[in-house]
Amino acid sequence: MIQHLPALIIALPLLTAFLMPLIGRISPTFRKLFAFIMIFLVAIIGILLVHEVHSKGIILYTFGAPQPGETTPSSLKIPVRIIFEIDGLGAFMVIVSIILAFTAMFYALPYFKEERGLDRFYALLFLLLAGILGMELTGDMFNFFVFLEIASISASALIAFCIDRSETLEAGIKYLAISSIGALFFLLSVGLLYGEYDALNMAMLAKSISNTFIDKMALILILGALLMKAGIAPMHMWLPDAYAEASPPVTLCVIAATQASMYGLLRMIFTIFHPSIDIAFLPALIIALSLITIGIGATMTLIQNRLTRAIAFAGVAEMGYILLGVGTAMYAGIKGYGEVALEGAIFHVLNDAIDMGLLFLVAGSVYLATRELDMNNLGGLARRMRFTAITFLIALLASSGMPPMNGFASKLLIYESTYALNPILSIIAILASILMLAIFVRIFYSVFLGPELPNLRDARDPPVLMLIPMLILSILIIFLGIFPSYAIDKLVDPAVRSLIDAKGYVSAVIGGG
Amino acid sequence: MLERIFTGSGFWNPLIWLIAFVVSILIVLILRSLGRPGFKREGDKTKPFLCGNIKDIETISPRSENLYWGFRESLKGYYKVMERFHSGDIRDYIFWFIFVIVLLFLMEVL
Repeated sequence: MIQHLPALIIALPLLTAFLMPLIGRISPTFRKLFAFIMIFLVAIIGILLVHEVHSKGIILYTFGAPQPGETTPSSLKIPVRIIFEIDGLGAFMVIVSIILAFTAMFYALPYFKEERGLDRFYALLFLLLAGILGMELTGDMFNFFVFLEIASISASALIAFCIDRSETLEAGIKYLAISSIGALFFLLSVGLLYGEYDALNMAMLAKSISNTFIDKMALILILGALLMKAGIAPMHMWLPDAYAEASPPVTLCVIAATQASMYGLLRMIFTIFHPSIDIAFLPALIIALSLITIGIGATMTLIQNRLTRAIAFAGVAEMGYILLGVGTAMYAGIKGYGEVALEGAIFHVLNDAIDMGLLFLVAGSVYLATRELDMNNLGGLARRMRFTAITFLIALLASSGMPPMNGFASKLLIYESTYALNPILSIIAILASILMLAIFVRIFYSVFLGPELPNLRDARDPPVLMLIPMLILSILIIFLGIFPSYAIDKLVDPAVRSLIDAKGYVSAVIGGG
Repeated sequence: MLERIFTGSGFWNPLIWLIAFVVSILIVLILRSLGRPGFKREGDKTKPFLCGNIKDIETISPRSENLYWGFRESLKGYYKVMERFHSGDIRDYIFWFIFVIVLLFLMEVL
C-alpha cells in the first residue's frame, strides 16, 4: 500500500472528480460529506508520502512497471515509462498544495450553500488538485505538460464558475487563453528536447543536456511559459484578474497552481538545465524581472479600490520576492549565500501561499457579510466582524514581512542573501516591503476601522465552518513565525538539499533507483 | 524548535523578539499607570476637533480612494503609464509574453 502512495495521491482526486456528479444526485449533504472525506484522505496520503520521502529519500514510482521502483525496462537502456520522482522539493510542494486545497475545500462547504452546479464545482476542484499534484510529483516532461493543462483548464472553468458578474467569465477566458499559449510554448520546448535526445524523462534529460543552441532555446521557451504562469511581470496581468474575480476557495487553489508553476521553474532551472546550460545573462535577467515584479505589484496595490484586486497585486509582489531569491541563488551559485537565498525563496513559497490564502478568505468573509468589495463602500467592520478583522491583521502583518510572523523569517533570508550579492537589491526589497505594510494599513483602515456605516450594521462574522480554515491559516502563520527553524529543518532544508543535489535526482532514475 | 535561524551574516530568533515585545508592552503599561488617575473620558475632550458646521462628526471618515492621496498625486505620471499597461486587453497580455520570449532569444543570440 505504502509503495503506491504516489499513484494514490493522483488517483484519489481524479476518482473523486469523476464520481462527484453521481454522488451529487444522492443528496447535497452527502456530496459535501464525500468531498470533505476525500480531501481529508488526500491530505493523509500526502502527509504519509512526505514522511516516506523524508525517511527513505527519493521515491520513484514507475507506471506500468512490474515493480514501482523499476525505472528502466530490462530490454532498454533508457527510462521510457512515466515515472513519478518525489524528492524533498516535491514533498515540500505537496504540503503547500494540500494546505491550500484542504482549507479551500473546508471554506467552500458553507460558502456555496446557495449556488447551483456544485457537482461540477467540486469535480473541477478535485481535477485541479490532481493537476497541481501531478505537476509536483512527475519526473517526465510531457507528463508535466499534461498535468499543467489539466490544472489550467480546470482552473479557468473554476474562475468563471460564479457567473453572476461578467468580469468573472472574462477572467476565466483570459486565464484559459494565457495558460494555453504558455502550455503550447512549453510543449514546443519538450518537442525540441525530445527531438534532440529521444527522451522525456527529466533525469535522463538532465544527464543528456549539453549546452547546445537547441537546449538554450528550449530553456528560454520553458522559462517564458513558467514565468508567466507564476505571475512574473510584465506577464503578470492575468493574475489580478483571476485572483480577484474567482471565489475565495477557487483563488486558494489557483494560488497553489501558481506556486506549482514556480516549482516547475525551480525544477527546470536547478535540476534539469542549471549544471549544463551556460546562459550568462540569465541570473541578472531573473533578478531584474523579480525587482520589476515587486515594484509593479507593490505600487499597483496602492491604487486598487476593490479589496480582492488589491490583495491580488500584493500577491504579484510576493511572487517577485520568491524570484529574487531564485535569481540570487542562480547568480551566486548554490553555495554560501546562494543557498541561503534558495532557502528563503522556498520558505517564502509556503509563507506566501498561507498569507495570501488567508487574505483571500478574509475578503470572502467580508463579501459574504456585506455583498461589497469596493473599499470606498466599506468601513468600520471591526465592530461587527471581530474575528475576521483579527485574522486580516495577522495576514497583513505576515505578508508585509513584519516580525514575528512567518513572512518576516523568509524575507529576512532573502534580504540578507541579496545584500551579500548587492546591497541595492536588498534595499529595494526592504523598501517595497515597507510600502506593502503602509498599503495594507490603508486597506485595513478602509475596511475595518473608522465609523460604522449605516448600511453595514447587519454585517457579522461568517459561520463557524468558515472560521475554522481562517483559524487554521492564522495559527500556521503564527507558528511558522515563532518556530521558523522547525519549518526550515523539517521541510525547507530537505527541499533545498534536493535542488542542490541534481546528480542525486538523476542517479535515482538512471541507476535504477 | 526555538533555535535561531542563520541568515549567512546574522541570525533571527523570534524568542528574543517576543521577550523584547513583552518588555516594551510592560514599559508602556507602567508609563500609562503613571497618568492622572482621576481622568474621565466623558464629554467632548476626547473627541476629534473639526472646524466648520459639521453636525455628525462620526460619519466623517476618509474613504479608501482618499487615503495616500499625496502619494498617488505625486506619482500621477507613473500611474498613468501603469494603467495603460494594465489595459485588461488579452492581446496586451499575449504581447508581453511574446516580448519576454523574444527578449530572451535576442539576448542569447546577440
